[in-house]
Amino acid sequence: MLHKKMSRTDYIVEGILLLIGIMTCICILYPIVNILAVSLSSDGYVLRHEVRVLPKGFTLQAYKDVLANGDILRSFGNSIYITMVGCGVSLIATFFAAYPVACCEFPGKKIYNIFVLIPMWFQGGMIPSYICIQKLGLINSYWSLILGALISSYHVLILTSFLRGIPRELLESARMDGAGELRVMFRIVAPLAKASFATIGLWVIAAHWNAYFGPLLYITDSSKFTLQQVLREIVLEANAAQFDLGTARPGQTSVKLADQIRYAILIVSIVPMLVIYPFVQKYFVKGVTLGAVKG
Amino acid sequence: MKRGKGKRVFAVVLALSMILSLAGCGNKPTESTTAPDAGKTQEASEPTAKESGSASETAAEFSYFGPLWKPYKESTPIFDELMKRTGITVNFEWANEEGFDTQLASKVAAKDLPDVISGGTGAPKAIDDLIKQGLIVPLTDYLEKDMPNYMRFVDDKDRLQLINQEDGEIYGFGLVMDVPPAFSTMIRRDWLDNLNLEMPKTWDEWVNVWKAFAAEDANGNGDPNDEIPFAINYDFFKFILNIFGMQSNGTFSVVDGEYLYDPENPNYETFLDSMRQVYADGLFAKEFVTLKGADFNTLGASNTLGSLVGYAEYAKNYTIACREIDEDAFFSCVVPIVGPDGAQNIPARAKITASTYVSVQAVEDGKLDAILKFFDYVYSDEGIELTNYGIEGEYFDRVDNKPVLKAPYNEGFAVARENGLIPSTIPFCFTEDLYMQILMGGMSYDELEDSGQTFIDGMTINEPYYYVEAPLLKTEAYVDNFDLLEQQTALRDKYIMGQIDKAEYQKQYEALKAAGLSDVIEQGKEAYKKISQ
Amino acid sequence: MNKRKRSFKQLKKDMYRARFIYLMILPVVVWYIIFQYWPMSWLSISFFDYNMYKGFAGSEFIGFENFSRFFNGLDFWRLMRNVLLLNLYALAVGFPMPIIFALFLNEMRFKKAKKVIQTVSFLPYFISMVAFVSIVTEFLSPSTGLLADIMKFFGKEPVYFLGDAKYFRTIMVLSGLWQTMGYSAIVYLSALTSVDVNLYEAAMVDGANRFDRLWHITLPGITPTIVVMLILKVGSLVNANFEKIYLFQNSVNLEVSEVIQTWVYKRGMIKYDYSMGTTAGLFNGLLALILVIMANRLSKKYSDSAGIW
Repeated sequence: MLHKKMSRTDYIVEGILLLIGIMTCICILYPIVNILAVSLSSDGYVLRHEVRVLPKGFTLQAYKDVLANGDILRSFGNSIYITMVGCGVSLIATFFAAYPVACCEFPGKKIYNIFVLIPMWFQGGMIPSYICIQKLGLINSYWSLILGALISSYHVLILTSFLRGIPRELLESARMDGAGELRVMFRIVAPLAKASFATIGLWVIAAHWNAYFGPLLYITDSSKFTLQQVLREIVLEANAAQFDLGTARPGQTSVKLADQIRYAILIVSIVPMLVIYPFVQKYFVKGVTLGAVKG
Repeated sequence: MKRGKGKRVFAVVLALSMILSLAGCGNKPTESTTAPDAGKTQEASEPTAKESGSASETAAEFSYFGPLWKPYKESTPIFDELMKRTGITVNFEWANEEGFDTQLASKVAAKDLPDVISGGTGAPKAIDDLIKQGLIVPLTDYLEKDMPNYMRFVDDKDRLQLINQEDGEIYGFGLVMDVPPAFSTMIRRDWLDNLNLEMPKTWDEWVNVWKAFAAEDANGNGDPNDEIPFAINYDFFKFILNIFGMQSNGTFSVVDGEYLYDPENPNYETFLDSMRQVYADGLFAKEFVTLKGADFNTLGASNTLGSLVGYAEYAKNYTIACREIDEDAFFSCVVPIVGPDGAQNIPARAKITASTYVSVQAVEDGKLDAILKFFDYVYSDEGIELTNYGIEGEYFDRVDNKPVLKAPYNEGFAVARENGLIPSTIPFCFTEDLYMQILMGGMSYDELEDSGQTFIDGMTINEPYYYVEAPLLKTEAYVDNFDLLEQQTALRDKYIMGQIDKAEYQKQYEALKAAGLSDVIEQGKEAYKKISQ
Repeated sequence: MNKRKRSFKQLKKDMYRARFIYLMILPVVVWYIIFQYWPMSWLSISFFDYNMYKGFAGSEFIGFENFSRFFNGLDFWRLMRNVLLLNLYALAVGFPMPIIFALFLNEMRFKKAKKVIQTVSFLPYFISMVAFVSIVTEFLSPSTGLLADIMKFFGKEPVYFLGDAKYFRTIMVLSGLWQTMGYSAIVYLSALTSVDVNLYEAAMVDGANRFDRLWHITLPGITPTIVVMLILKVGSLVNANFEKIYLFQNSVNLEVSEVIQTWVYKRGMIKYDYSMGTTAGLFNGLLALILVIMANRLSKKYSDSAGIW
């Protein structure tokens, strides 16, 4: 249908849609643009609340201050490692958890299904989780973060409901041809579920990237800190400096730059997501063509 | 059919949850018997062997668990020196400040009790619970006997803050802040000059000055409406109670030896009505309820704020920040506002904060002596010099027989702390002399800029007006009804903002009292009687 | 008797046939037991006068005493009303909006713009809650905020929105929408890609217009996803967005902003009480489960979709 020529009403509708889209964008973007502008402005303008959309008294000082922290680069690498490995492992595990429910029949399926769902509403809390990780000897290992967040029942549910939409005949005919279950899973089902994998992958990446409390408890070796841990430290330091005693010496006060630093940190931590998102988005679009094959 | 299905599902869920709780009950005992076997066998058997063998002097080590935050370091030359001088090895284990409570609870649950537990600058949140479970050693007797150096700082007023109201014992010891309190009242002196006003003293004079600030273009930016005459960080709102003669800890004050809930104080009505008036006249920050943390700093630095009560340091910070906008800006520290009934006071911080506790594990393993000896040394003259000034030659020089910090250690608290001085991660005594040395940043008063000078003035100008806050007594009613206290605060703020009238305030306040607030008030009175005897 | 025997035999046969599937789910089950169910077994603390050090063996079983302490301690109905109202408002606005947004994007043919809008809408999700709260506070400030400027421009007196309880829910719902609309739309966008394109072409041949196609093909195509999301959403009706509510809470909005989680948290600041926190957690979970079971049954009864189990 995309190839069909557009009629005049189509153009009008498209115009209206575009307009709404732009308005939505402005509403969503304004605060973010404001953050960016503040992070690039100098003190006087920020303190007078004069910075709205464009930076005033342009300066990169806040970014210099943030990046001057030697731990930033290393923790950036750490976070990327955790996110990548975590995403890969989680996707496979989620697939294994969801596939049997969606595509197979086996005694006890219902119980298994409920077994997987219950943790959505009941959690033991941090203390038993900590003891669990500790007993497994995973303190200060990234596996504490990766394994601890390996499967989310919510993701299993989403994937299951997606996989249910795949025609059974497709699977049955493959099985008839003598394909093993693993083969069916990875050769036939997986390619059809690309869009769903992309979605869940994105969620997993976002969760790992933003994770704060897990690393806080399980990673105590400062050379293994994640980006969020280091950024939080800088923020806390900026805040602490405000409430801790300063001295009467002339010069710097801690009040200045505090907003800029806080916001520069936000921008720094969003950037990788900005890089990943369009890449993942491609797979949503690909889903359309795949859907056509499927019918 | 479908209904049957639903029932079955429900039954399965129910069965599962029952199995779960059963599993919980059944699981745990085995769990708790295996846990010590797995982790603690060596540790547990070792000390008992020692104890039965060669008395306590061999156990010259103990473990210490506490939070660590920036800029403090995990190990410092000061800690090494302390261990060297006392001959006692401390096995420090640090947790991130925010994860500390969870980690402590997990340690307790895993039967991995550290010998010494510290909450850093305050008691760990779980401490009341740990005391109730009998995991913390009462130190009352030992303190007198084994920690004479520490006890020389503890006077009767401090005792009130330290005593456990349940059993009258003292469990914790900790940070001694032998330094002047840091709060002050500040006003824009340049605004007074701009408008040809006298320095206000009494409440009425202040109100008149605020009115002038509000009406005129005091900051000279052409807009007569952007001035906010008076504001206070919401976290420090109790300072306003002080102006009205209530020497409050935020909720309670001690009046004639009685622990009195502030809203029951005869002065409370004057306070409410005066603030309501000031707010209605636009003299008090309109957004006072949400004005705290970084937002308050932003306001202070925005060149629109006329006066405030807060850390004396704000005078310097805000002056410098405002000068980005108005080069004549000058926040000057002044004596506290004299309230309508002549009260003029400002709270001091408690001199001693209990932060550090000894676990029963330490006693079991015969480490108590070493612990007391180690920390008493920290409070001895030598120990105080070491923790405050560091090692002679490296950190400080002796001038006229007095230690004087070298640069860069005297340039700021962060630098000093990063290098191991003023170690608030362990209990110690923070001296006034060192405090002032760093506060002055290694300079003399005359070398400072005017903004720095007024900060130092603010530290001393209140000298006669300080009072020590009443202790916060966590009675049973207080813990269970803490939200009623919060609801009273809500009433107070709504009344000040004019959202409710006096009759409504009275009505709702009486309702809160009936709902349990009276119990909080009564139990507080009794508890205070008990500890003050 | 005989029948049961036969069905047992059949079951054994079925189970044998499914042995590879069991092998497949074995690691998943093991993971769930270690990382979810073992910690979950600690919820039974709610029935004990739990002594952290002595563990379950040394703690006394007290039945529902913790629950009665929990219900009597807090002003239960007030807090329950707050969390339910807050979530119902959020449900009414926050649930349909991402769907509408996803449909809207799906309708757009201008690919570049679509991509940009989608990326932009996803961004707010990555703004930390603390920073988010300070942005909203600044935006709504009657003295310095943008909203105040706009109101002044239209000749209106700026309002102290955060200082008045009656605006609290609106602020929470709208700001929540800003934060998560793009993120929540992702699942629908992904579902939309699996709607059968052939159906559209058939409809075009039949002369269906744009709206018809949207209403009769697209929407039914993603209905299963919508149902699943709705059931889950109902399950989270009792779960307040704790961090956000706590950060936006102030004395004046307390009467509408206090929810069970903030109450438990604040109580924990005064007195660390592990059993109280656990009891609250268990209670919340049970309530959520009941809601979900109800929603699931309703959805099975009134729609063709399968529900979530």
